[in-house]
Amino acid sequence: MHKRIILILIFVLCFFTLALADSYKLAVYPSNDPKKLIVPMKIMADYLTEKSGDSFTAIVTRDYEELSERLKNKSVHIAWINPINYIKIKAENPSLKYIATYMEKNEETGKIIPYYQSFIVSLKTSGINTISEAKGMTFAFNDPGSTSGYAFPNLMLRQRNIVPDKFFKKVFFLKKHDRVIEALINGSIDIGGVSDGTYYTAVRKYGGVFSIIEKSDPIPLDAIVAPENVPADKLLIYRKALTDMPENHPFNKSMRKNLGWNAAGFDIKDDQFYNSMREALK
Amino acid sequence: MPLRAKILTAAIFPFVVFFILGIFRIQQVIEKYESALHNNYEIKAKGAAGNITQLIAQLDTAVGVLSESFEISNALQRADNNVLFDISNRFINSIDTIIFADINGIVVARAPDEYRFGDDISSQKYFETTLANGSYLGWIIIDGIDTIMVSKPIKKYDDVYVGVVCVAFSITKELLSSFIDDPDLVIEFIHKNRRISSSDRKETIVYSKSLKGIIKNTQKPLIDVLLHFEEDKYFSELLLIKKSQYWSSIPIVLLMIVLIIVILNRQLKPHSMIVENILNYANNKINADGLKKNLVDINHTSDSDSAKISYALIQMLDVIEKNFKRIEQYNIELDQTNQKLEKSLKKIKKLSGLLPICSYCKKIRDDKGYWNQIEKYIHEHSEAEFSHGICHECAKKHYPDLGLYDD
Repeated sequence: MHKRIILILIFVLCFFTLALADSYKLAVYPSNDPKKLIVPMKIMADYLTEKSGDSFTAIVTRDYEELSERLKNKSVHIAWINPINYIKIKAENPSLKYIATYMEKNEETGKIIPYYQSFIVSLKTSGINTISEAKGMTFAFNDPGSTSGYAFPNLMLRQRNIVPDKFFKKVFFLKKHDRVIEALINGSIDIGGVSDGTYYTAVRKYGGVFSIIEKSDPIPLDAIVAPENVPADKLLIYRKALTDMPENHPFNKSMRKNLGWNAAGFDIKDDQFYNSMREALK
Repeated sequence: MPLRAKILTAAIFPFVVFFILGIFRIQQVIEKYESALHNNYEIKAKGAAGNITQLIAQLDTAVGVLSESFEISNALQRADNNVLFDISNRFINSIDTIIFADINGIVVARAPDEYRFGDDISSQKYFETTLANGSYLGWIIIDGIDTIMVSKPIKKYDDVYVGVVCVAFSITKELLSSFIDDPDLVIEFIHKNRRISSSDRKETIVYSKSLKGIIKNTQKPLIDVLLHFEEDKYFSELLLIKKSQYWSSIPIVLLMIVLIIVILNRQLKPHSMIVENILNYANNKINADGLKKNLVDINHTSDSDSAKISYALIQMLDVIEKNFKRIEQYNIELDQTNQKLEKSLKKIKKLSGLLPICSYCKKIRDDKGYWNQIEKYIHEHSEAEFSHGICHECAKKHYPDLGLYDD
């Protein structure tokens, strides 16, 4: 009798251990509307599940802070992280493991590259052609943790000796790229910083109503990372799966359809790839 | 009263009595219903007042929660539009508008209009009042829509403000209707020259009640709330019944009057005719035969008291006629007697004067101066005839030999 109970307990314990071991999480920061963002991320999670055999679930964190926190406390297994946070977290936690870099097809050149840009944009009807003409007007960043929505627009402003809070009448933080576009369209702000992908999506949606006031230098695209507890062999499996993703994969199509991002798979770079950004943000 | 009139009266009188009692009963029912209706008005007014008070309390609660949130205070300081919108959007099902403005009056976030921020409200009275007094309750117009707004400052520390949160309800027909939940009731909010009603129906309003002072701003009435009660369907039907009863009573009363007139006419006309004929007779417009003839006609047309009276009068006339005839006969006889008497008197008159008579031969001198034998004179001046004879004394004197009176 006692042996039978012990066997049942062992079986149940093994079952839950396997179940827990197989529950992997792919986390992404909310760079866009989470409802839209989760759609391609689920496809990516399914793809990773298929290729690795590990059961991945896609989640969208509330903000950058949550994603950073969860990478630190290892409650996610793979994270889609923007460059600025990658640099910050990597600085705080050198054991953070790099897997791959997201790539996009450039709208202007048609080349697939692991870079993108930040644009400071306005509406053509605003009559603003240079940043200096926007003095006393309202400006919007994305999120203090956003690379193309805050770090690089802020860099472009400071390179012109502009302190945003003093130069503009009001500076808003709208947290998502597409909200900057919507705020522009609705006249709530006069000027704002967005990623080039967001800009091109907005052009496709609203037509040529926008004017690009400033363009940033090339910015390394988002990094796919894992916390230090993910085994090296797993890391290689995930990396191979991502770099093997064909250009016409449903994930890329879904990224374009839902977010307007010109997704074109993943490439293998390394931590050094983000040094240019480290330099820019010094 | 003839039998027909009695039957008619017996049939109509109860009908009229019950009809009048019916009208009074309806009037009583109407009065009771009206009283109940007014009690119902009071209950509904209290219900509406409770709902309005609840709305203001809801605004107060919301603005209290939003103004005291540490997260909101931080988000406002960071101009984090997204966080402020997300938080305020959770309240939007129960509140129409939420506005977060920084200390300079720049709107940092607004719900439900996600992308309507950046405007400057620093010159708005509600913004200035909120910072000056620590709170605001008022009627303002946002984007052309009348709203009730409650606002409070958002604090960084107890004595340091970082902005203002405003929550508002749009005063719409739908909102006003939600206070009353009764299709027969109209609620109206009045503030200065602004007037919003839950319905445009005015023509059917029968009663209005004021809830003045229910929404106060620093103890002063902010909004005049008027409740208009529309015509109650059942009460209207009662009034219609009453009206129809009154209207239907008119022909009945008229019919009654006509009937009374007819009955009275039938009853009184023979009497009037009798009186009229008597007066005509008295004024010699008709004679007795005419009067009698007319009375006979009246007698034939009715079997009522008047017929009896006319019959009696005819009998009286007959008696009078007979008496007249008798009197006439007496008169004739009297005339004849008078004539005879006159003649006799004439004769008596002739002999009654001073007759000059001879003291010896007893001859009488006439007017012409001739002396006449007394027999001849009396014969000529009276109806008297003389039959000559010899009295006792003369027989003895003149004819003693004959012994005429010896036996």
